[in-house]
Amino acid sequence: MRPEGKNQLDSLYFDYPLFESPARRAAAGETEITSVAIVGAGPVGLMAALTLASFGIASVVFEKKNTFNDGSRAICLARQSYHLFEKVGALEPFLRKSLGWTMGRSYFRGKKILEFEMAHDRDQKFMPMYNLQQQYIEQFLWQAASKSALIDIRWLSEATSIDSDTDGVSIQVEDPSGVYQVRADWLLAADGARSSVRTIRGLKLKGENYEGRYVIADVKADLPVDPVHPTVRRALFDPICLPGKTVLIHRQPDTIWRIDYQIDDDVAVETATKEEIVRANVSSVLKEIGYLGKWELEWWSSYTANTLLLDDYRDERIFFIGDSAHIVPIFGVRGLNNGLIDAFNIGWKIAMVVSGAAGEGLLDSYTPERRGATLDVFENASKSARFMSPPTLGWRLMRDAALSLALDYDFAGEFANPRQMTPYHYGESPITVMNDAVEQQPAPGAVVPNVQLSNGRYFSDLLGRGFTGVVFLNADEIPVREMRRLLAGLDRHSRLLCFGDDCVGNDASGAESQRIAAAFSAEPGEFILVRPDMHIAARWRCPEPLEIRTTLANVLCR
Amino acid sequence: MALQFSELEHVYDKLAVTLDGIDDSERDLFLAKLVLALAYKAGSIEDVLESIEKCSRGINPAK
Repeated sequence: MRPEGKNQLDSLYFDYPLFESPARRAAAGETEITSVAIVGAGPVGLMAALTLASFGIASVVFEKKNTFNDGSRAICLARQSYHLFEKVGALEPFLRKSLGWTMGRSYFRGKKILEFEMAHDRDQKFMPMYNLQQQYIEQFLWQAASKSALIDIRWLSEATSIDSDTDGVSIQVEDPSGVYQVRADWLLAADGARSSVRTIRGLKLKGENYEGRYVIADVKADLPVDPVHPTVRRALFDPICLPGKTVLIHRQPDTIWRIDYQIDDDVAVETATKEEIVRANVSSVLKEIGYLGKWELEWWSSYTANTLLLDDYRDERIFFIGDSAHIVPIFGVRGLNNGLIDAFNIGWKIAMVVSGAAGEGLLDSYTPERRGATLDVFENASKSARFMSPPTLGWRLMRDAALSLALDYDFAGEFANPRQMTPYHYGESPITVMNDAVEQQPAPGAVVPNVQLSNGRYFSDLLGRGFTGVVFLNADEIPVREMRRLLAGLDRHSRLLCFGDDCVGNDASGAESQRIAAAFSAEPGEFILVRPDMHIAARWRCPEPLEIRTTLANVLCR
Repeated sequence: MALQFSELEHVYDKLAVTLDGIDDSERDLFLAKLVLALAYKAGSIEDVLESIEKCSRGINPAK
């Protein structure tokens, strides 16, 4: 919502482009053929299109709106999302515009009770978290997508009927010029929480609603900024301005500040989102943090904590990605970040199936991996939701006791840890290989550790677009050439990396190789297979190439 | 000796649910009983007195 007299796209800092309906598409009554169709050009749909394009696979994206989503919405991007932006060639504007941060400060009844710092060190290429308004996220992904000849984005184009059969999906698309048909091998539904694909397919999200409704409001103001930690997440528990409630404050680019505050259970959302009431509450929050200067109201919305998901993220040849598959509470910032991971996950898998490098069975791993990630989010999020908005007196007393104790006891501060997003572990995935090396850490299923190398490079920069074999050489003869041929034979995106002491063909110096080996707790002779999404698929101690070949065939369902 | 954080989380959850099952008029009595029982098992009188002192901080005094 925007202040009275302004239309929905009338922003203080962002110019929304108005896209036209597609100039080129099939004539009415004709059927267009495409490999992959994507419904929804939000961040998740565009991420899927960019992932496919990075593997050389074309897609057509249908979006019923004619511009980006209005308002800042999902503003926190986690480290893993930046790795994915980099992989699809969209990273640069994100780094330029967003605000990285590591620190959170919590206040209880007006007093600062603790600071938490998210894990970060020099071996990490990216910060643990970045703040950026969703319009920018969409704009930057759109800019990257519009440069690709493999991505055809069609605005003002709505999928009005969808039929899936054993060979493909038939989609009826309606735009201002009329109706036409599209036939795709696969359809990705990235059309958000109110997914029309989900409705057309007669599917329903299932789960629970939590206590605690919030208003989220953006204001433009010159709030003072901490010189050491310019971007800090502030959480105000039971503040003087809103007794018994919780307030979150985030700094965003363009001197925009996000203020999320909990509303009374007995107040209707329609009342709580009235402009004069939002203004009064924002004003009292700003006063509590010591700001009495000028501010302008930019945009606001409301939010309820839900944990809802589909039973299966796949419906025949349709895959649900992002909010169309799952709705999660905002605490811990897992909504958009997990949606981006969904998009990359199904993107590389479909790309390998379409290119012939993998069998269709590979796609069966999408639901267990990504639905598993959602259930993991629910477990953390329900704890966070109970802490942020205690549902009963008992939970409130315990929450307040922990906060009050945190002033004098470090252990109690841990209860206020927001359990920020970390990548899900695919240990139980059907394509994670659990052999005799599973005791090794990081175990198969985990995301690879990163290591800073010389010249500003990182270990993650060496990984191939496809699968990467990582071999730690020793004095014994390792059939490197055969391994290299094996990986190269998989597809043109896969490769082998060798690390060891001064060996010919090493991908890093001897000292760097040692640090990489230490990060993987790898012994000489060990072989680690890394997926395109940086998760470890398998690890072996001194494997035979035949063993690797057989495993790869199993992982890729060939 | 001290509990792991995961064990403390378990205590937190158990107490929240227990408190919700107690009549409003009995809640203070329950909490005082609990503290006394835990003090009996605590390592030393100094620890208990120090905890009473520390926990009084940030709590409004009687009017």
